[in-house]
Parts: sequence; structure tokens; C-alpha cells
Amino acid sequence: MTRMPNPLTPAPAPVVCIVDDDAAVREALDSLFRSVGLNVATFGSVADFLARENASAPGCLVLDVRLPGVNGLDFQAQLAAMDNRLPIVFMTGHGDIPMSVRAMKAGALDFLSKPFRDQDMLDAVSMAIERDAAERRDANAIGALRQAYASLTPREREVMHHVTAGLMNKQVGSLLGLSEITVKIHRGNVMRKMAARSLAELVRQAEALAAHS
Amino acid sequence: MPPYRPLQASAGASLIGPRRSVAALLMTAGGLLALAVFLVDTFTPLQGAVAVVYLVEVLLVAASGSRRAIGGAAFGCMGLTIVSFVRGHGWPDLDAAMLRCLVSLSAIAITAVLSLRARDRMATIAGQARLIELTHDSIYVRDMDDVIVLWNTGAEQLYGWTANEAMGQRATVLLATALPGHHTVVDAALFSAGRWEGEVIQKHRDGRTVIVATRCALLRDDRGKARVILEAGTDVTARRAADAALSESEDRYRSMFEKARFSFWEEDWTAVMARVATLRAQGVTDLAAYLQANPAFIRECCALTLVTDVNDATVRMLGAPSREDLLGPLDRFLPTTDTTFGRVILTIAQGGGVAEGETHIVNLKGERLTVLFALNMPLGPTRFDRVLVSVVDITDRKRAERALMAVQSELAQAARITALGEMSASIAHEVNQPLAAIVTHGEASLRWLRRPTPNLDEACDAISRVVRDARRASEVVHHVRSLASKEPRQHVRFDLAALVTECALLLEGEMAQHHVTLSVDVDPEAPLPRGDRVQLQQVVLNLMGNAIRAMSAVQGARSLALRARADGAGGLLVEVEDNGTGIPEDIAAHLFDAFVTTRGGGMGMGLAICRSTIESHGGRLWATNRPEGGATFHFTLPVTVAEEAGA
Repeated sequence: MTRMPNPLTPAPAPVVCIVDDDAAVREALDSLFRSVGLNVATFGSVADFLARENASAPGCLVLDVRLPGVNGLDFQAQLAAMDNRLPIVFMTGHGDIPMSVRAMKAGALDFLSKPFRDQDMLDAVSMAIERDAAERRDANAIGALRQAYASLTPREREVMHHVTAGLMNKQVGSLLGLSEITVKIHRGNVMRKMAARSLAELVRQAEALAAHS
Repeated sequence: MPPYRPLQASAGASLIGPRRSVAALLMTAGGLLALAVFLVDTFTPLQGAVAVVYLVEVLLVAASGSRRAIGGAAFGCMGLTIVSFVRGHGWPDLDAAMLRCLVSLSAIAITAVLSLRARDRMATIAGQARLIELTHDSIYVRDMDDVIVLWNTGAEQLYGWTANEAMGQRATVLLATALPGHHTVVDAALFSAGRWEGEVIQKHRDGRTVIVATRCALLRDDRGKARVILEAGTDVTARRAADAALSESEDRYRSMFEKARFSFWEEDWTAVMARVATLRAQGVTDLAAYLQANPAFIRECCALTLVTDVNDATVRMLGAPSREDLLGPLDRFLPTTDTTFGRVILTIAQGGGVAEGETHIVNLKGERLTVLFALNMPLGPTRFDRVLVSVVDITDRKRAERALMAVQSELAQAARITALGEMSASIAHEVNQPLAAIVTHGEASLRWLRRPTPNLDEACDAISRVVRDARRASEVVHHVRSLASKEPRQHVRFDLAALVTECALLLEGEMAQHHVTLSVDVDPEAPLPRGDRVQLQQVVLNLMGNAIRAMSAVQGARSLALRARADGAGGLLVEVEDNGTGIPEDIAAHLFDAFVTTRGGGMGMGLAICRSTIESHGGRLWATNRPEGGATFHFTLPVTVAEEAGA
């Protein structure tokens, strides 16, 4: 049995991670974000960023395209390959259209040319934080469902599969060679373990699991 | 050289008679013999028949030579015969003894007469032989058995054999005579006409071959019987060798002239040089100045220059149907814009004998060829009738060079643009970083101040960083400027005229393409400038290039003038003048700013760089429009302060 996550527990505060090799730009962004009450972590290089503590903290990444040793766009692809879904806001000193198109296609949240307006940067960052929070919520929900599903016995999973496919208990029983009573007991266990209050909710959960499998 | 020999010591004299000592001996022997005969005739009973032996005495005396001696001997012998007869027979009776005596007397008389006649003939021949001795020609006489009977000093010298060695030898064997034709032909001529002339090849005593021009004569006796052949010869070996060498040399020259892949011309400059001589007679002393002032005279001379021969390569080069089409006045091959001919006239008139350079000629199809020419006078610098000119067509090479130069210049331009692009991107990045930081700090500080409870510390921090980053940005700008002016300077004193010549060479193709004529006037008194030669050459090139392009729309003559003289302030003033479209008014004020251009493809950097170069040398660059159209660019170079200014 696994404890369900408590929705009332406050989520950890989001952190804005800044990666730019120019210290002045780092300091300026640090000051800007703190002035609106955001938590900030600054990094002079990609390596520093990857080696940070509390890597799973929510938030977003503000990334300079031109970094020593690595191209920002390549680093974006590298993060995606590592399944790091932290939303990215790009900054560039000499952005061109093809570069921004590529970044946006790869899922960047925004692409700002230096010098940028503070409001544009703050908007982009707050949007990024929101998206991160939403993604984390979704990821958490799916995670709970997976945990619950994992706690089902194989027979219960079979019963859940057939029931959510719309079969009657009797039909399920005959398919599995079980009595209708036994099917009912299994089905009750499924509903309880999955914390589904109705068959409709169970069907939605099955669909969500299938979508993220 | 053989030693001089007195005449009598040689063969001629020996033909007539023996030497004086031998003559005396013969005389003595004759006398003794006469005495013996007389004694026998008088005191023995042989009775008169012995008297015939007196003949021997007469003949011996005849061999000694003197007319009087022969006469004396004859009369003496006859006297002695008579004395012996009278002594033996008393006063004569006409008997057999008397008859024998008379026969002896007549035999002696006849022998004496014959001997005298023979003596006269020999004297004539000896006279002739003396004449023969006097000539330098080789003369020898051979009899009909080919045996040499006369051999003079000339023959000794020609063939190396002395008379004593040669006489009695067979002539054709001794001399290994080789006739030009079959000997029967020669013999036939000799026997029918009595003479033959020709060259024979013979051998000298030392084995070398001599070529002898020979005249033979067949001498006949009174009855027409062939007696001897006289051969007179002159050694022509050296002359023939010289002839052969000359002929070979001429053949070689001809063959080189005809077959050479280069174009050769033979020209006759006689009329031109006569014209120049007239000019000098009229008091023109400075021909160079006269030629410069009178282009029509040069043209006239060009028409007076006659092409007398050309080779096949020339016919091909000029696309002529035949060589005859190219003979005649030279002027139709030289374009009216030619500038080299005057220089060639000057060189030849000054006895230079050799001139070379690059010029243009027009072929019969009207195409303009670029050629290298070298003119020389194989017969000496005063023989104007055969002037040899060799010409190499370098039109294609020039065209390729021009194309190469165009590509290089485009490449250089592209490289400059690329470099400029990269540099500006790099500068933009370097400046943008601090700018971005400044803006963000400013905005952040505003936000700290506008909070419900303003955070002054944070705001102050942010503002102080604004100041710091702005300083940094300005340092970047300063750094870029210092980078641009960091190139090492090499200031040297240089010859502007040489530099201008190089520029003219570099732009030659472009000028030819745009039909621009260049005139250069560098005052030799002008001070030598001092500075970075490469940079200043770029300036001159740039100004000349601009001028050439500024005239591209000009119909008619396009002239580019470059002048240099002292500027009156101890420096040098250089002017580059064109007759192009001039400087548009709207451009004039910004002419020297960067990125200002009137040309589609231009970067607008040229004049900006020129001005900064000139200014870094302590000079000044400015431009004026000419009232008659076109523009003049002027720049000054202070000769003395350039170093300090450029450092």
C-alpha cells in the first residue's frame, strides 16, 4: 500500500536558473528576479548548472545561446535527451530568425535578444514557471496512478482492463473463467486501490495511464 | 714564311744552264778533251775521223751557256782540225782525207749553230721563268707524262714542297689533285681550247687540304705537239672557308628568321633617320623634348618606317593572307594612341641600337594585340636599313592576368567584407553584453525602488553596476580602436615616382579596359616622402582606381592625371585628377565618412581608410570638383614630421 500524495502539502518554491558566461548579465538578472521575489541560482557554465544541488527543484532555465564550449541550442537537445523538462528561456546577443525558430520548435518558451525589456523577461520567466508547475502536477498525478496501478494483482489488472473496456461483470467472468461474484470482489479491490469513486473515473485513469505509458 | 731565295738559286735558272762552278768545270773538261783530240788527230794515223769527237767539246761548252764560248769553241775546234789536217797531209788535195776533214768541219759548224739556237730558246724561257718567279701565284709546269719540270716559289709556299723535292715527281700524285669534274672533261677542255680554269682540291705537304683556284695552259711546240702543261694557282682555302661560314651564317639567320615561332620583322629605318638628321640640322638639340611636344612627328616617322620582311609567325599573328600584305609602312600596325614609338626613335637616334618594351599593335582584322617587342640592329647601330624587331604576342597572357587580377580583387573585397562582418559581429557581441547588463541593472534598480518598501541597498548595488558595466563597454570600444591602429609602422623614405609607376602597372589592365590614358608628372625636384610605403601605395591605388571608375560613363577621351610637386611648406603635394562625373553635391560633405559610397558594389571604406592613412602620416586628404568636369583628389605628406605623426 502506498500513501497518496497530500494535495495540501505546499510545493517547493520555484527557482530561476541563469546560465550565462558574462558575470554582469548574471548579476543583473539575479537582481531583477529577486526584485520581484523570485528565487535565483546563477551559473557561469553548463557544467556548473548540471552539477547543481537540488536539481529536481521546480522553476525554469534562462540560457544564453552563446556559451563557451557549447551551443545553447545543442544543450537544449542534450537536456531533452536526459528527460529534463525544465522550461527554457533563451537569451542571445545576436539572435537570428533561423536560430530562434529552431529553439522554439525544440520547445523553448521564449527567445529574447539582448538587451531585452525587463517586463518581457519577467513575463517569459513567470510563464515558464507556470508551465513547469503544471507539468509537475500532471507528472505527479500520473505518478500516483502508476503507483496505484502497480499495486494491483495481475488478475485485478485483467479485470480492470475488461471493465474499463465496457464489459459486464458476467462477460468478464466468462472470459476469465471466474464466477461473477469473484469478478465483483476483484472489481471492488480495483476501485479501492485506484481510489476511483466511479466507473467513469476509472475509465479516465485507464486512458491517462495508456497515454503516458 | 719561307726564307727569301735569290732567283738564280731556284729552279728557273737551272733550266737554262748549270751553275757557274759547274760551267767552269765543263769548260775545263772541254778544253782538255779538245787538247786530247788535237794530239790524237795530229800525231796518230787515225787521219781526220777523230775530228768528229770535237762535237762533244762544242756540246760541253754549249752546256755552260755563253754564246761567245760556244762560238769560240766552234771556231777553235775547226782551227785545230785544219791545223791537224795540214800537218798530216800537207796542202790539200781533194782526196778522201780531205773530204773527211770537211765533213768534220761542217759537223762542228752545224752543232755550234744548233747549240746557239737552243741557247737562245732557253734564254727566252729563262726570262719567262724569271717572270714566273716574280708572281706570288703558284706556278708549276708538268710535261705530258705528268712529271713536274718547273716549280716556282709560289708553288713552294702553297704546297710546302721545295723545287728540288717537287721536280721530277708526278704532279697529280704529289699533290693528290682532285678535279671538280671527271678528268676527261678537263683534259678535253685543255686539249681543245688549250686552257682550263677551275678549283681543284689538292694536298699540302703536311697533309692538309688546300683549295686552289687553278688556270691551266697547254703549251705546244712549233709543230703543234703538246709539250708541257703550265698550271698557275691561287690558294683560296681561307676565302672559301670564310665564304662558307658567311653563307652558313646567313642561312642560319634566314632559317631562324623564317622558322622562329616568334614574330620577326625586318624594318628599314633609313628614311626615319634621315628625317631625324634633317631635324638636327634645323637646330633641334633636345630630341626627347621635341618628340614629346610633337606627336605628329612621331606618327610621321612611323609612316616612314618600312617593313621590308616578316616571317611566317608574323603572318599568322597578324592574320594576314600572305607576307606581302604586311610589307610597307609600319604605321598601319600601331594604334594612334601608341606611346612607345617615340621612345624607340629616341633610342635608335641616340645610337642605342637596342630597344625593348611592351606595346600594342593592331592586326589586319582590327584587333588590338598586346605585345612585347625587342628591336636591335644586327648590322650595327648605324645601319638603319636592316633593323630587326622580334615580337611576342602576350594578349592572352594579359587577358588571363587581368581576369586573375579581377578575381583576386573580388576575392580581396569579399574577404574584406567577410572580415568586416565577423569583426562587427564580434564587436557587437562584446559591446552588447555590457549593454544588456546595464539595461537590466537599471530596470532592476527601478523595481527595487518601486517596491512597497523600497530596497535602497539593492537599488544602489544595481546602479553602481550600471556605472561599472558602462565603463566596461567603453573600454571595449577603446580596445577595438587601438586594435585597428596597432599595425606596426615602417616609415621609410621612398621614391614617389617609382611608387606611381608600380601603381600604373598594377592598374594597367583596368586602364586599358576602360580606355583611360594616364599621364604622370612627378616633379624630380619634389622632396622624397617618408612613410609607410605599402599604406601610401594603397592610397594612390585607391584614388587612381576611383578615378578610373568615375570616368566609366564618360564618352570620348578619358584621361587620368597624376601630379606631384613640393607643396611650398616643405612637404609633398600629390594630385589625382580625372575628367569623370565629379563628386555629387549630396555626397561631398560625407565623402570621407565610412560606409558612404556612390558605387553599387562599394563598401564605402576606401576613402575613409585613405584619409585615416594620410592623416596618420600627418598629411591631409581632400577633394575638389573641376570646373571643366571631373574631380581632383589632393593629399599632402609633410616630409619631415611624418615619423612623429605616424608613431
